[in-house]
Amino acid sequence: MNERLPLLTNAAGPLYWLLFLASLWVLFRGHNAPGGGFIGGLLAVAASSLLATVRGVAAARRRQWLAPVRLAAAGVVLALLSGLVAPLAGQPFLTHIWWGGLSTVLAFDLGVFLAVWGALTGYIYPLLEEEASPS
Amino acid sequence: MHAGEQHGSGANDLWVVLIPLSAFALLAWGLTAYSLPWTFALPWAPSLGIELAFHIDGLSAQMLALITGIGVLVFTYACGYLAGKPRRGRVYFVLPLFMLAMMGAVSADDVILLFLFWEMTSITSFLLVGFNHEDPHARASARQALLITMGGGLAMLGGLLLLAQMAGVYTLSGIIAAAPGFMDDPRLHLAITLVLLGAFTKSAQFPFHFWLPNAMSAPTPVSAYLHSATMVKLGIYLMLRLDPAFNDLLFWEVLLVGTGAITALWASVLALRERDLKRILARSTVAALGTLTLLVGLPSPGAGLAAVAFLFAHAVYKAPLFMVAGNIDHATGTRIIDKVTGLRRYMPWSAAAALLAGLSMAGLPLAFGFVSKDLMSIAKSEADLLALLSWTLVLVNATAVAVAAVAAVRVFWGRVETPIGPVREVPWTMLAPPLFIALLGIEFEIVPHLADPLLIAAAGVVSPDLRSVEISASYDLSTLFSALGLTAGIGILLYIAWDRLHDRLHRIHWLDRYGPEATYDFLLHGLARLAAWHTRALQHGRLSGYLRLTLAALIAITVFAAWQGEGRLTVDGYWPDHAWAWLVACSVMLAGALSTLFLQDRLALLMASGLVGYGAALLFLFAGAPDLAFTQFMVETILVVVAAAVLPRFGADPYRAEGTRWGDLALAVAAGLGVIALLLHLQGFPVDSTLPEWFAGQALPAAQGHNVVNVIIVDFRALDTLGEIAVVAFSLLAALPLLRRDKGARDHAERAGNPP
Amino acid sequence: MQVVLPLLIPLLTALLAALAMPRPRLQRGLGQLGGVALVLSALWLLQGVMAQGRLSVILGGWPAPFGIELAADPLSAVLVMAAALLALAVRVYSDDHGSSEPTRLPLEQGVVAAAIAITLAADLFNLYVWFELMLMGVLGLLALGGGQRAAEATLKYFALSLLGTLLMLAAIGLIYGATGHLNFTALSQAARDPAIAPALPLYVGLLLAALLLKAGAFPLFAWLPASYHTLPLPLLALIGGLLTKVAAYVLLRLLGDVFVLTPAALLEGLGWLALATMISGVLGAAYHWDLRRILAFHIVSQIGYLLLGIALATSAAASATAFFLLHNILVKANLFLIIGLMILAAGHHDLRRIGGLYPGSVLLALLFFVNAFALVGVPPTTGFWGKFLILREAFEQGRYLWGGVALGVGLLTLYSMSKIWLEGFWKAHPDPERLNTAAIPLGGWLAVSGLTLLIVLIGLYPEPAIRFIDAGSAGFWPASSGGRP
Repeated sequence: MNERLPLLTNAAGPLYWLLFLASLWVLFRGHNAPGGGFIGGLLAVAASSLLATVRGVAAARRRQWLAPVRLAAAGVVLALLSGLVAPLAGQPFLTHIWWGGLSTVLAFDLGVFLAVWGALTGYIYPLLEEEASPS
Repeated sequence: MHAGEQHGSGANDLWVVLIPLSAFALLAWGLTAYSLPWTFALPWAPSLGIELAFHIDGLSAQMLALITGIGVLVFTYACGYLAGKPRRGRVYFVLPLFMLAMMGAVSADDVILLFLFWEMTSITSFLLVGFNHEDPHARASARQALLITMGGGLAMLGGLLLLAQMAGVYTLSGIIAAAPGFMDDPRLHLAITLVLLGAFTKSAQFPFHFWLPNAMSAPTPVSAYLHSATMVKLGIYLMLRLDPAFNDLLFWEVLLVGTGAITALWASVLALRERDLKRILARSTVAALGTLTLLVGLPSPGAGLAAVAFLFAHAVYKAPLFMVAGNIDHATGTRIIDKVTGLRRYMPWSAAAALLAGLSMAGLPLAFGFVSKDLMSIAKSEADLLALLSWTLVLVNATAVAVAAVAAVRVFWGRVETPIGPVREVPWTMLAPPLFIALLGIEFEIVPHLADPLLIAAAGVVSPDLRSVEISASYDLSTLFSALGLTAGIGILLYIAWDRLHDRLHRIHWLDRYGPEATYDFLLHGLARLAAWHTRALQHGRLSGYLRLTLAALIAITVFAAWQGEGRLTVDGYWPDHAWAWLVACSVMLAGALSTLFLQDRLALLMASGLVGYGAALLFLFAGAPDLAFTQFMVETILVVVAAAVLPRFGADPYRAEGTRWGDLALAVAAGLGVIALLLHLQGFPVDSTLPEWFAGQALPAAQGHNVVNVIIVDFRALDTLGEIAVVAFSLLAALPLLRRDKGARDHAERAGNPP
Repeated sequence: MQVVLPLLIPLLTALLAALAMPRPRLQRGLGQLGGVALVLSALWLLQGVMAQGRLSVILGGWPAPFGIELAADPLSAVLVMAAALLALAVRVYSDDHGSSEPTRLPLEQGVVAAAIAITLAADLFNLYVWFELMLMGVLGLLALGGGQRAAEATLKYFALSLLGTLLMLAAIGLIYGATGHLNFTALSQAARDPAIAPALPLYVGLLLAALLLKAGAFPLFAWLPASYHTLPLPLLALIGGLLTKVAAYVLLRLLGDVFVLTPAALLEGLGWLALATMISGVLGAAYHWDLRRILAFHIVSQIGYLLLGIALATSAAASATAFFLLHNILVKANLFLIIGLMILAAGHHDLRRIGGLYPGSVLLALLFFVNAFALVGVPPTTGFWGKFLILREAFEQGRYLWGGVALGVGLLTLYSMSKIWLEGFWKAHPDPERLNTAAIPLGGWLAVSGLTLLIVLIGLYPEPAIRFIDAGSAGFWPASSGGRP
């Protein structure tokens, strides 16, 4: 596929970063404007699938630090751990703690982001891999 | 076990005898040291009113004496019988358990405790009957006995529970004491029927009698112990126990007397059809049990005494006869009475035991004097029906005499036609027990007063009015001898005509085809057939059928629920702000959904279904949920794009509809209309907006976020989100094996979804 | 934290196990640690509920009807305990059970977390989320086997179960629409509002239908026998022990504690459905020769007893149902584990192709015997008390037919268990060389014996359990406003 679309092949790298940064931006502004972990994660998925379609799944995998399944699991773990900060201070699980502009809310939302990103790319990569390999 | 294969006396195993022996010694000591009744109770489930309550009175004591006393001899016998057999250790483990269960059952006052021990006897008996479990017949017999006696036990539990609820207590003594208070309760007959189902199955009453002869595939010590002396008497025990409460109830009398008489007569007839010595004895045991049931049902106080006396006597003469049958089997390898005759030459001690037991059986009418006398006198004064019954009894006892003669005389003293090879007498462990019990029986016959204290104590429980009666006066010699003579005379005639009667009866085949046993087989096969039909109809393996049934059932339940509620379909006048946009969104969704009905190209199908998602996203957008709309757009896009990329792999052949399935169409339309109806129904009720208002109001001040949707997701309802992202992550984990390149499996899964 | 921990521990175990995926030894250690920690946390919860009664926490520290509440009363605490013990037993059993797929431990722990969360949830939508998690976990475990049969089973389970999930979501949406609430306490108050109450029977009926599907009631159980038998055995024990049971528990909770004004006719209908479920399940069991299918159908039959208890709709009936639930989780799972050992020792799951286990192993025979009779309901086992309590309440209410059918199904259960005994234990093995009782690993013996011991102990002295559960169910179907005539 990529042989047929040289322009897209070349543009895919920058496009990936653009989309990925957009996804982070959507994630971080989510608490106050439309956006958040779910949508941000989906944008990141779009970025990764773009790269995978154009440059191959391996290239896309390289840009995620963890294998998709583990990325997803790490996301859920992060969200869970963000909720465990409050119990240390004697408050119920998932009570969010604020330190000025920083908060456990962000960690939770980042967890959502990672979970969505990891899980969906985990579905998409094998399907694209199979499609590419002539079996 | 053929001649020459004997494995010694089994004296090494005799230590097991210590178990019943110590129980017997304890009982004997207790009876001399403390006066009856003994009562004690421990808390068990106080919040249910259930206690570990025991109540040991004369009746219990008599049963306990039988259980432990005969236990000593049976255990001894078992050591000889099982000597050298593999896995006999399991019998030595289960037999004492059975004994304990029996002891518990006759001592329990609490009905739940009674049920516990009752079922324990059934279970241990199952294991004992199935000792030769590699033989399919033994397995089937064990299961038959289990199903019938435990089925009866379950019914009994229901009955006891009803009695307990009527009486307000869970103890037998309490129920009996409270019985006059609930004689008019409409539940009474149901309760009695259920309890008697338990007693009748356990004591092999018609029409449940057939399990007992079949259970003769058990080892002989087991038969002697369970199937003549103790377990089968448990039903009789329960009837005796409850008799003081229901003695005056016509329902009780008719059921007991009727069932008992039919059982006794029927079993006597069937005894004549058998050639297997052990089965003959089993049939005659059933007849005795029928007689006992009949006696319990008779209203007079003397009948109670007769019943306990007969119960005792029967145990004492039937157990040695069973043992002798076992000896013959052990020595010759067969129990068919035509094959074994003239055995006295080889087995003199067995012959002596048989003769003594037979004599004891012939002396039975002595113990029986009470009954006959009472019966006769009642018959004279009251009804012809009872006179008829007394004749029934005479016939039944005559058969018993004939059976005794077959077991004691025919096989040992009969003419030798086809001499059986030289056989060896069995070891002493198998001779001493029958000889001892039989001698004991004779002693009781000659000096009946020896057993009187126990019997009278037992009878006093059954018939409290008896205490004033002078027992010895019951030995009225003239009626006694007339009864004895008559019974013995007919019995001898029956013995002489045994073979001819047998041939006649044997040729009546409908007895095999339509009897209760045939009914049991029919039911068992019927159950298997019903189960097969039911399961094949419901669990046929086709997903489309499952879906159809499931959907139909869900709709039915919903319709039923709707019928129970109120409210009607309401279309309120609400018209949203961007009405045109809503219309557009809905049209897009409708177009997408409808076009899937007609499209054949797979890619086009995919796009069409994607339209439904985009329509929904539009709807969200205009309804003021941009986050939701955006998410929906993203999901839908990724889905369609990826699917489109993957689709060619499945081949480009277009999807072919298989014609219209009208039933499925109706289901789908019903489901769709149902959803619309539900929403219109909801509109008829006021809206409570406490939650959304609070969320909107608190998002900024309390949760420091302007985006209410995000605050709800990450804060107000963060646990839902945590759960949902876990679902997303786990869905990937779940899909991993399917995502692997295992094309065969996937293709098959597709086919399973749409079978030919 | 007491309330949250039993949910967090298996969830975290699952996630960490997923992170540790390529390394089986690390996973194994995590599994053992998580299993023990879960039991400890369940004990802590149990102790807390014993000392203080109902414990609850609203996550995020928000006020009552707005945040999500998790709550533990005696009923839920007992079930959490049972689930934790079962999870540990399955772990102990599996560790010696050969190598396994890397995704197995995460999925298994995910199912445990979901089951526990469902019993603790006091919020309708949150409940739904955990049902979804359970669906995913089970789906994954079903697909584990690979191969065509597993794929087929997975698809059937997915398609049918999804129907129930969607219906549940719709019902929850409607209930929220009508009442404006999701929190159980708030819902139960709103449900008494005369302006709203008339709307509810329909929506609650819808929710009932969805839960009946999840519980495996007649005729909605098609998914269950169609899928279960392809699972590896220890997992079959876990799922067979938990999956349908938590749905039944939710039914009890919602009908008895939240929507207590449910019309009598709905409960009556539920009662008859319960009878059909009992009979249908046991007939299916009687038909089959595959050990796994026999027990799968018995699940259905036992669900009938639970539904019967719910249909009787009094606090005593709630108590009976909860006790039966406790019994059923332990015994059913244990029987699955035992047939696992039977299959290991005798070499096949088809009764026609095995035998000789009675002479082969006394211990195995004894373990099966005790648990089989517990399933039939013979004293002194938990099964007897469970059935007895339900029977007692049925008779108390004059439901003689219902009670009678419950007794009769006990007899049919006995028939089915005796079939396993006759064919698997008593009959000689048709191929004696395949009989190898030494193949049973220590972990298997430990897990099965431990559960059996527990069953016998509770059966011998049920008073503490009964009294504890009574305290929890006292508020169910409050007499003043009972839905019964």
